[in-house]
Amino acid sequence: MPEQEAPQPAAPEAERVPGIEPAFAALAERFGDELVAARKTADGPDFTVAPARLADFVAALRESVLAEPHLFVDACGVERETALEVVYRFSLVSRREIVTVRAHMPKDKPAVASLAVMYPGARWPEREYAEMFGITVTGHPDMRHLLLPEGWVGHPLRKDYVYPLDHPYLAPDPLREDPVRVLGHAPEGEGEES
Amino acid sequence: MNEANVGTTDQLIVNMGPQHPSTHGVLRVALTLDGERVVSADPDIGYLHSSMEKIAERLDYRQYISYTDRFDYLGAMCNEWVFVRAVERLAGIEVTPRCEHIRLLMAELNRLASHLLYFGAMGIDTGATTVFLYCFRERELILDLFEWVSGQRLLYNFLRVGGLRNDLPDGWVEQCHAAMDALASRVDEYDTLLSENRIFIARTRGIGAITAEEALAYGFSGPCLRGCGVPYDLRRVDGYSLYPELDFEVCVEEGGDCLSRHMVRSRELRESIKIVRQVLARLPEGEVNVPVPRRLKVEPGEVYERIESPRGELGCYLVSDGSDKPWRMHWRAPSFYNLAPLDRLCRGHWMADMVAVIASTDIVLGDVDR
Repeated sequence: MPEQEAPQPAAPEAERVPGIEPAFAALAERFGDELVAARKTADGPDFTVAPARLADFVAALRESVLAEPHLFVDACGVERETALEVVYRFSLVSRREIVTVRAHMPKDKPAVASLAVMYPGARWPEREYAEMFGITVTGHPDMRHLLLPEGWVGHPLRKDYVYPLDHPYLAPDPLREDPVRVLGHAPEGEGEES
Repeated sequence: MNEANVGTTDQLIVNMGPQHPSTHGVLRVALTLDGERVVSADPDIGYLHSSMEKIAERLDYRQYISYTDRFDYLGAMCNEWVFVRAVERLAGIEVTPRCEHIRLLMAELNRLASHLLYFGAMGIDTGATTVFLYCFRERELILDLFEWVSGQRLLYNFLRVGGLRNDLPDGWVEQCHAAMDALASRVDEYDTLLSENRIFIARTRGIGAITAEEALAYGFSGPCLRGCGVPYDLRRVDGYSLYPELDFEVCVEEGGDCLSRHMVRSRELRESIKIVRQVLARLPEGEVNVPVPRRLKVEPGEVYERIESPRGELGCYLVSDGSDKPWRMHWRAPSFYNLAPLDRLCRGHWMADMVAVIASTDIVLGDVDR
């Protein structure tokens, strides 16, 4: 399979807009270099923080932009060109405003501070991105596999993940093993459009 | 018998599922029981995990639409809608007014079909089998409409980036009016059969209660959250599509228990009928498709688009690298977050109440596992 793959285009760069907007000066003062970026988007504020301070930062947000009742919306991982990223979203209940908090980590030893104690809803998505991207979540009470079976090797949502064709859970795929017998002819190249 | 054990109780671990019919799919819950009381409930998910997010990275935007149907298979139109909305927002595509009306119409019909199935399942899980048959009879009216317009009864593949697969067939609008009339006259009947049934109320009132603060921290959304007294309905909060122009009520109940979640859905059936009738009355003429390149490439960037699906906040996070395939796509699946607090909801209740709690969160396991 890998040799058939079209050359991957460059990954989208992490955050194009560095810098802190004036509205978030108080947070910048408190977190210094650990607040990497803070900007306003059409959806709401968007922050990038150091992964080790993620939980502290969200706790600080609960005194400013998240002071109102808000919903824990989502957490997920993204692989960027040079870094792994986790994205947390919160939504105000009263009006359309989505607060996004990101953290960038190196690809070799990624680790991030868990929000699972503050927001119990973060327990499952953190387990999910931990197994899918190989990110260590520190301070999480329960780090078993969530969607993948126990003992699964590798992190499937990483771009360099190779599917384990000899995995005991997978039935042999005749199409993959002997395509000529199944199709009656050599398989056509992938990526061709009808 | 060991003399020392006489008069003491043991905790027992019981597997509920994955083949238990009332777990609404393949959900396994490892229950720790003290007699009949639930000490803890540990949901084990992933049986239906199908790598929806990885698959998206290998397919172009057009091809992926048929996959969106398949995770929350009871809200397929809503899944398609949020996905095409996300792609259209990234690519800067505006759809025609007629297309927007038809999409909204489909989403609301899908909400009706999904809530009807919920009604039936809730009834059968709490021992009321009659309402199940009635709800499936009425759901058939809506599935027939879907079949007529898209050729499919469950997984429609009807929406396209920039439009729809086809326009409404002749006579469809009249049939839809007739279906709404039939349904409206029967919703009260469901309430008398189920919602006002003394046994049903006894099985659901005060069961699986959660406060609004906890529900928000758990990421509860949709009818589950509105059952806790939080008026969080994206159709009003975001006011996307044509919803700001439509007259409907956000249904909120205060109890936070199974009965409140049930009553929210019961009232939402009526509101959705109201919405469908309004949209049918104002359906504009015109084209349903705008020209979109066959091989759609969108600018590098990312977008989080969300709509109110029958189960709650359905979000689609799309990261583009400028090619014709998503670089990363992530589903914010409402069932995933609605199932997560199961331990909190069930702790201390009888084991038999588990069934009512799971049914009242209206989860779809395909949506949980994606």
